[in-house]
Amino acid sequence: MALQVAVALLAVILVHASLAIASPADSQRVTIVLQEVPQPSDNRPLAIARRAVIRAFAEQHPWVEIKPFTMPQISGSAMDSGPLMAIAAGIPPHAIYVNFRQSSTYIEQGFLEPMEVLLARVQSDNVAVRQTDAAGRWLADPISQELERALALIRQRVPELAWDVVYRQDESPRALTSGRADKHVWALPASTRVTAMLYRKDLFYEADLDPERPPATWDELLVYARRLTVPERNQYGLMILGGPDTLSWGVYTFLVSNGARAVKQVEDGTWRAVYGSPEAAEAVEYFWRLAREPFERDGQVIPTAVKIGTRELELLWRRGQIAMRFNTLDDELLADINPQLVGIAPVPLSPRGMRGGELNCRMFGVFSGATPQQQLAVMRYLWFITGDEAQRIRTEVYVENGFGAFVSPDLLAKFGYHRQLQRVPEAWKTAFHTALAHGVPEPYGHNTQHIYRHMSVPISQALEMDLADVPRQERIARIHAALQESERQTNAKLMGVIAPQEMRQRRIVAALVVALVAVAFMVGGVKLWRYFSQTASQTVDVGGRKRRLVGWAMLLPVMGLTLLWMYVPLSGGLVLAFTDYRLAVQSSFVGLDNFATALYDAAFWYSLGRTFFFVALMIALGFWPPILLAILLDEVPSAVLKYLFRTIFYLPAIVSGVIIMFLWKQLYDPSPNGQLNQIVLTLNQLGPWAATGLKLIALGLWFSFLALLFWLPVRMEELRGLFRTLLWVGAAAMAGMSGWLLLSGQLAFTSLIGRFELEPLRWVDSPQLAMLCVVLPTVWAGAGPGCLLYLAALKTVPEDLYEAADIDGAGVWHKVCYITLPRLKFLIGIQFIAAVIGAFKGGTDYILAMTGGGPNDATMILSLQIFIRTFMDLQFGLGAAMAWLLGLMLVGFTAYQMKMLSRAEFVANTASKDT
Amino acid sequence: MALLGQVEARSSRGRLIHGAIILVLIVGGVTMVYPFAIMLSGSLRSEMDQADLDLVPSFWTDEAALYRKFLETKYNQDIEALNRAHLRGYFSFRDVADPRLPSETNSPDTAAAAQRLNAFVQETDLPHHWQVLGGIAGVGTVPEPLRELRRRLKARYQDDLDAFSRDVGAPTLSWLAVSLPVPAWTSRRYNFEPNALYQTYFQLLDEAPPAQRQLVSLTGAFLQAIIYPQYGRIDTAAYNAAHAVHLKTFGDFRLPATVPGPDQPRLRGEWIEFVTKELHPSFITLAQVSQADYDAFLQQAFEGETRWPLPDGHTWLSGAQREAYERFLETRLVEHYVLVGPEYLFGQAELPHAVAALEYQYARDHATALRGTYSIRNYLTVLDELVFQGRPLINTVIFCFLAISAALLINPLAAYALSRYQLPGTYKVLLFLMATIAFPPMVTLIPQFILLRKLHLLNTFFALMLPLMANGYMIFLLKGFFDSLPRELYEAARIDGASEMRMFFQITMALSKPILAVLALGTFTHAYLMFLYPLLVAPDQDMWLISVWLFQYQQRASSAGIYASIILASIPTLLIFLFAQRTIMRGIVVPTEK
Repeated sequence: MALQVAVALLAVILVHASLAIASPADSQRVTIVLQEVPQPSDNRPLAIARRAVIRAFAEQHPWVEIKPFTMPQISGSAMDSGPLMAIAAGIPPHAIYVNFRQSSTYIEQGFLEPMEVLLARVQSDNVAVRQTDAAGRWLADPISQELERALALIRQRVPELAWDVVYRQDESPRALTSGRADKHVWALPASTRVTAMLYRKDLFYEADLDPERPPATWDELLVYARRLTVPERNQYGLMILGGPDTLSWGVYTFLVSNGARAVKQVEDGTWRAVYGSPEAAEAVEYFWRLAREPFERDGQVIPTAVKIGTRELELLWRRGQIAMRFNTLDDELLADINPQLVGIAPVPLSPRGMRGGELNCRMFGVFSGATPQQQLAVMRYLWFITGDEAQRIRTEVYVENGFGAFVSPDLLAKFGYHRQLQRVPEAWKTAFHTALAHGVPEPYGHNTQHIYRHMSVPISQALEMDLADVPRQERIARIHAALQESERQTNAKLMGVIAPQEMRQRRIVAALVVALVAVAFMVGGVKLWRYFSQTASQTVDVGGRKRRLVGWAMLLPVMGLTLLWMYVPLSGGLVLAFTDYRLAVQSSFVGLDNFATALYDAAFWYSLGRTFFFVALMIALGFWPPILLAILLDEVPSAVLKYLFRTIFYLPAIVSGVIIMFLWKQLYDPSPNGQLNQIVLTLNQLGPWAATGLKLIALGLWFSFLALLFWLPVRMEELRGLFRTLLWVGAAAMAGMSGWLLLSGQLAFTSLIGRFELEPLRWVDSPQLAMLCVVLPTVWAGAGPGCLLYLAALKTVPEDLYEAADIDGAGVWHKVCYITLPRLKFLIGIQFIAAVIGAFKGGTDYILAMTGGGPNDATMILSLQIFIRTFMDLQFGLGAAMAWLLGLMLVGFTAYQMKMLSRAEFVANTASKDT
Repeated sequence: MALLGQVEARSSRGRLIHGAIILVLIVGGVTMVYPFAIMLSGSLRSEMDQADLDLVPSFWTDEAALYRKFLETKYNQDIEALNRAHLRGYFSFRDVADPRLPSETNSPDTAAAAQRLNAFVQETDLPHHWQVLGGIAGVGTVPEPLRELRRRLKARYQDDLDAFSRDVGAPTLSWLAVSLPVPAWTSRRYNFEPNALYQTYFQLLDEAPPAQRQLVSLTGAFLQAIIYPQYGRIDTAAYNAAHAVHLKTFGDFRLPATVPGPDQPRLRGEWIEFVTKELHPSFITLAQVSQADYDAFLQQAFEGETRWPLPDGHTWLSGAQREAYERFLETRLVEHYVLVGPEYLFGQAELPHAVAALEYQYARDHATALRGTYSIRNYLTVLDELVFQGRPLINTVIFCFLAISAALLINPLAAYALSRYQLPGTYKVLLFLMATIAFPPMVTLIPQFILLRKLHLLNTFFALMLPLMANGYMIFLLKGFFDSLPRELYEAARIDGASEMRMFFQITMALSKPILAVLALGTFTHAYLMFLYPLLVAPDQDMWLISVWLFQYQQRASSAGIYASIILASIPTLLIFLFAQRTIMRGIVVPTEK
């Protein structure tokens, strides 16, 4: 009873308090689009509570209509890009979700509106500060007392550690041009998130560990993780969330616990990466032991105690195949988990006697592109959801829905739920308060939003090092070196400031290169123009003037569309490469700086190298299967079978390439239970004799295939020039690749004699195999659709040629080499050029879907690098400059392609009766 | 059959070669088909079995697996709900014991218990708050009752989503987002506001067969709220020690309807804590109390005309009525409390076994129907979003139609002009049209996007079609083909007085049908499968294409749902290839050297 009275009283007080915010008689109906509005189908207590708050807000502000923000998201490391793309597309959310690492970008891009000014407007007694003229300018501005009061009010709601994140200098171009870089509040935290450890009590119990005594130190964690790893059940001791470029985020808990930090603000206010510290090296070494040090149990060698991965791990966790994990807890609702099943514990203590985890806030800012009335409505909304009344409503909902024991103890006490307070497990309170006390804010400085990506590189490298037989100090030293190197590179990127004379030199180089690009394009263009002019001179103008006009009219739609859709954007792209393009505010002209940055960026050259590797693999593996398949299909004696096989091999083309990538990603599961690994591992069951035989046969087949590739050009004297070189290049590439695979030990041939002793391959997780894994699905899916053209071409080979050869007693090989292939020569040449150009230009979305560029940047080809720079870093200018440099690479090929095409005649296969 | 001559083909060597070729093709074909088999089998699953590797899902062949799946659906994928009803301590539906195993289950009395329970639920008019409809919620999977609920709500509101949003008080994006928070009837903290959603739900509940209804279990709630947190759920040792009893498992425990005597102090304290703090008052009745006593209390406490009937356990108490009763309860001795609920009415000892037996029997008797329902539900969910409720399908049809017609009109027209009109600089025009191949798409993507934004063309069909319309390569190819058409035809037509339009459509286009078919297929495949571009230029939900929908569905669906969506989405392309294969093979144009 007393409780209800107290709540009712409180409600009355709060309603009055909220009425103190002037009621807007001056407002008309406003629609605002909000992020994180839960759908009615979302039944989690968090969602129910947020809905209740929104309902309460809507009741008090009937003139505000709330629309949920919907924007399809790109998964993985591009996850922050949803709202950015929506802003770019002109359908932005009006309340933008901001976390620590994004805050800097959003402020610099000018996306956010100063909040204390808006709050002052909302609260002011002067109606004019909430009104605008016809042009959308405010009629009046709040006076300084009002601003100060608003600032003080906001300060009360912002947790101490987040204050420096939200209250900072205006770094948008708007401020830089006006010269008024004042400090403002940019976002309002809605809740705080801290890191703690979750563990499955049932698995502890099964492993004879005390479910009430989770590991308290790193040593214990290692022992526990190993005890809890059961390979037969596909069960892992610990899971670490992190894709190829977010791995450091998952490992950051260890770094922080050992006293290491990712970045630090130095005296002059700029941010430096500091993860090259000995503390970080120790932490990464510890992680290496967890993830890569093999250990023995009951005579069985187990390679790892950790499962590293992304979204798919959640399922393993729910199904009880993961025993421990680190997770973020919300400061309001600790977790909506079953306390009987899942325990919460503080992060284990490091040998240095410290612990800690990332600390973050869910924050919201007001989008600067919204109309003034929308901005005010959003401000009211944000002020409401961070206020006491909203907190009370949420607490009530949690308690009413039976989650009383999970609500933050502080909130329960604040709103008088003493009975629930007693039921919060003691361990949880400790875990939460420890996490809060030792939390380290996520990096939030200038350009730090990609710190996790940079930091993941040396950590992935460390995981790839062969450290099993290296003493611990030596291990740490080697990891330390990798971290320091990466730190140095990151700092070069982070600081982004280059000495003037260095910059001058870079500009000169850039000017030379740009001139080279221009000359190359022009020479290519002029040569082609001449060539086509020669061809054109053959046509004579036979029609009259009127007839010509009709002809041009028929060409008009195509010419107009090409001009609008290709040439206008091309010139736009050219301009873009010379500007610092901003989405929300005015862009500025920067001359050759973008080219200079690109040319002096190690990542650019590295990606270029990867691109060549990618193209080589695509050609070496993907170019010939369609030809071979066509020849084979053509030989199938029955028409029905032919039809059937053609359809089957065409199957992959009916689903989009990206989906094929998702499918293969599942096949590439690195655990012994992965589909491909299961096939690989069945070889282990062969007896020693059979295994040796199989190995020798495989090797023999492979070498005879290579020999054939070398021999074909020699044998076929008719083949000239390009085609012959091409075969040789292909053969050399294959030989090189096979040599490299054998030498680098990737295929794990322990020896050529005896049983197979294969270990499960890590496929796409392994930097050595990743590029191959990306290419294989394309090859697999491309053979069927690609062979159709060759099949049609085979029909054009006159049957009597073969008959004549038969009479001469020629064998099958002879006929392939002397009749079939020479007849297809021209087609193969054209297709080859097209394939090379296609490989250079393509692959972005496939690789994005498969690896996101990782692991360890192994699949970071240039077009993907451009995509990331452009759409994730929002460096449109730099992206455009890189794209033009890539274009340079293709000019020669394209000119050659056009020349070949102009020599081509197109013959339809209509004559053929055969299906 | 070119390389092997007819004679050679019949020789044993020829047969060997053919055999080898077919073998190679079969091996290759298996690798093509296998992933589709995985998808197909994966699309039939739910959370419980989605990680299984068998190609034929076990619930198709195994009755026990079907039974577990039935339970998973009935208990809304909430293992704790099952644990409450069966008084067990499972961690996952995969672990649920096969009720046949403890051999007595097939004995006559268990079958009889199932019979009796069936009759009991059917004949007794059980209050709504004594039961929960099975399959009314799901994670990733949409069970049939939930679909039905949405269908009825949509009919009830005549498809007016805004009216529904107002009534329920939450902004709702589509009927597919509607779902019902599973009522936690026994919890004292549970409050529900009767609205349209619940009215429809009660309708469905009344129609459901007994086996599809979960009965609330006070014993289960007591174990989960009071006992497990203190003594653990895995074994009874700690509990037995504290209570001086010998429970073998918690499954043998039953919550007494009245407060345990002082001879069991520990249990008595726990009982009181549960009933006064955890249990909803609707499940508590009072012995030795008459309506007159209650009236007197109300009279005194509220000093007004307020009159409520004394609760008998069959009405759900809420609002002021609940508050009044709670206060009344506080004035009475706990000794007078009598718990009510299905278990007390039916017979506490038997109920959990009867429930399991009834469920098993139901799953066995309806095996075929259940297998069918569970197999197609992922597909139905996808169809709901694609066709019945959402716009992706219609958008895609419109878009593909527009894109193909536009491409097949303007490109042949241009090729015709270049081929027939012999304009000066024909090849320069071609160069102009084709030179753009040289530039990597990254160069133009950003400015194209900015251009569309400036022209206010984002989120339009035109923006989607743009990259598919003018195609230099297609024009080049068509021009080459048009050049090869016999000139005499045109001469003859001109003599007959045919107009240019006639010549274009009736001669040129008519003769080029196979090529045009191939180009149409190419355009269709490109239009149908591209997703990154439409995602960028048409992110508005009303403009989603199937590919964009697929992409965003992947972010929220279960893997079974994803497989089902991929399979459904690939049907159009597959059908087109199957039926147009002959035309395509005839229409492919092979470049040869002049």
